[in-house]
Amino acid sequence: MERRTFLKTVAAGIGASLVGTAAEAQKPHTAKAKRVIVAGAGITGLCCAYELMQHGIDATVLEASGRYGGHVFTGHDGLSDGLWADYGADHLTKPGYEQFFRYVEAFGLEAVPYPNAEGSPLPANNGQLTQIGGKFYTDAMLAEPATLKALGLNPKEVTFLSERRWYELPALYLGDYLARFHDSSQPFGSGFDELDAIDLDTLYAKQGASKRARDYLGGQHVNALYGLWRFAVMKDRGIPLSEGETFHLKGGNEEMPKAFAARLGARVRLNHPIAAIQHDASGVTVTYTAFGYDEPQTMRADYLVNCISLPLFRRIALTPALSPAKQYVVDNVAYSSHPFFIFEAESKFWLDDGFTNLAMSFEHADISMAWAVPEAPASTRVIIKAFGPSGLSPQRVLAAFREVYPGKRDTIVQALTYDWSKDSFAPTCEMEPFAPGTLRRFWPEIMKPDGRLYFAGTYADALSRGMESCVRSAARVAKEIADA
Amino acid sequence: MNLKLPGWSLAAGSAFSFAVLLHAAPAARGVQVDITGPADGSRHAWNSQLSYAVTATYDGKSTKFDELPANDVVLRAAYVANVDAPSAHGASALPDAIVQISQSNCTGCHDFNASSAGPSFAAIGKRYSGDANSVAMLAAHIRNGSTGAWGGGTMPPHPDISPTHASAIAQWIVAHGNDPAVHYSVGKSGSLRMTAVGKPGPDSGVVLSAFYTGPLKAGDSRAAAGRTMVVIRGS
Repeated sequence: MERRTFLKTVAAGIGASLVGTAAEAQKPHTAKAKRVIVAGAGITGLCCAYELMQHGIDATVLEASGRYGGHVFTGHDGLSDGLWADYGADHLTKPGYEQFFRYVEAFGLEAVPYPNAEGSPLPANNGQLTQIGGKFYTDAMLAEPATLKALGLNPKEVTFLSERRWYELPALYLGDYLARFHDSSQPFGSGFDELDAIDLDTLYAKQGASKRARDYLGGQHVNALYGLWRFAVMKDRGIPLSEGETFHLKGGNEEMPKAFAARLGARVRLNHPIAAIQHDASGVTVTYTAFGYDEPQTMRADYLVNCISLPLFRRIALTPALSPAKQYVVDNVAYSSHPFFIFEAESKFWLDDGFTNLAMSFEHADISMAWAVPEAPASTRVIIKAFGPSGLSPQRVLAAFREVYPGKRDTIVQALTYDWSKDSFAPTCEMEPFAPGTLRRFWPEIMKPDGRLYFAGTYADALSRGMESCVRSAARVAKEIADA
Repeated sequence: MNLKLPGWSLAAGSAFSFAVLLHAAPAARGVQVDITGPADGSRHAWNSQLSYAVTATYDGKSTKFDELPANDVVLRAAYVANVDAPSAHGASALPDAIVQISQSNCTGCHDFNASSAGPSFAAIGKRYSGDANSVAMLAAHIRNGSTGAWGGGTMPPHPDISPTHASAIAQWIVAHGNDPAVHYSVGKSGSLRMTAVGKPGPDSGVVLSAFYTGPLKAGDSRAAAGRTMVVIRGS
């Protein structure tokens, strides 16, 4: 694809989607109908096949595992009263999930407010507690100049944070840069290309940020140009530094993969792992096996969209091999992966301790954060989610919670987790930021097809940000194929 | 094959036991490993990718029916300058570190040669090559976890891996993790790349060896019967 056309398509973003239209019925079929194989039935693959269907294109989804949804996984086992917990994709934001919310509306799903999701900021002084140096601070305390000074923040930061929220801190150091970032459709060309060489933490340090501020901001090992560009894209999409209001789907976020799959029907083939892909100028031939059979079968199509996370996609033999530039991307995109720990409690025990909310961050090695999930109407029991290191048993994380929880007692009666590091099919979550000095090797190659092979997933959008980047990239690729 | 079936001799004369013995024969206790693809002696272009598939059976259980988990199989692909040289076919044992890696959840986050949720073993090996203190440091990271050692990610603790095994894994990563001639894959199927070291000659190729890495009963050996080795010629 011509670079200009390509960037235009990227910039077109959500406009690329045909969600909620009757395009499938309306679009006249061309002389030769296109056939597409979608590899992977995670949210990206399901969305891509759905979008292709909307374009009047025949798509088959081959999924290696016995369930669809991948890292979007709502679990019920072990919980009472029909309660559930999202073990993978946790929440949606408003703004920031425009494409996703189009599907919510089109499929008649319901998004439920889910404040403090994964520690997202609550309205000021709404009960959030942060442990620093063993002591718990309220938002009001963290805005007092004397407290801020004692924490080691510099005078500029003290003034800023006495008037603004902590999550706005990047604006203090990046505001001028962002004002001059004039083309957020790509990282390069806005006058900051040299920032590719350093990390974001170095950029903050150069501008005199205190150690405390830098610890809060993160940014070590994060490509500074990539970090700045992210903020520029967020700004253009109207996403505030708070990351917006948070929601989840009623019944769990897996309702979205289920809604796509319901519309795709028999187009989704579970337990059909792909072993090899041959591709040439006219199409692709995929070798796969059906569940329980050893004999390989083949399927021919005009295009293949890879919606499998790249570490697992590498297990598929490609003939011919990818171009060196694309292979670099496939071999070097780094992912994050973390578990949630789920506690079921008999009541909102924190109210008895005088806390308006369970929205706390901790300094304990085995638990860094805990927050309450909005209660289900049919139950008086509550779900609490917590962050802790993968591989730990839920009981150990619960013991850590009981060590650091500042109240007297809790009513937790169950502790669960799902260890993604042991999941053979969807071990990874989101893309990690690019390392300093590498952005030119990733961008724009990361968005491009390699011949008849297209790529969609959380990494294949200008803003890698949860499920929204999955569905945006899926819709973009579906349109590119429809237009090809 | 070493069939340890005490007591069979007592009933060996009856037709019933003979039938049972016939039926039971394939479910031998010893380890059987077969590389079912690619074909032995096949030719593949350098830098191309190919699929592999391995079946393993042990103690009456098979990877085919998921009675043995996929991570009980490891495939080694070793570049050799001359596939016809006798040394190329010498069966060398699998390092214990690879057994431990396959049996823990390491490969959920680490690939041998490419990035995943964690850095590749090759990248770690490259960074710490020649650093005398690195083995102890890496072994401690494996056991206790670490933050910020590599990018912004967090390495979780692994109290289930013994200090001895953690040390063996760390030693292997530093000494051999970045060996360009040897590549490992965990799993009963996957892909491998025809990677040469330097300029390959007409007789150069890749020797594939497959191993069972799952738990063994007391007295049993990892040494496997079957098509455990396959030679591929480069072209």
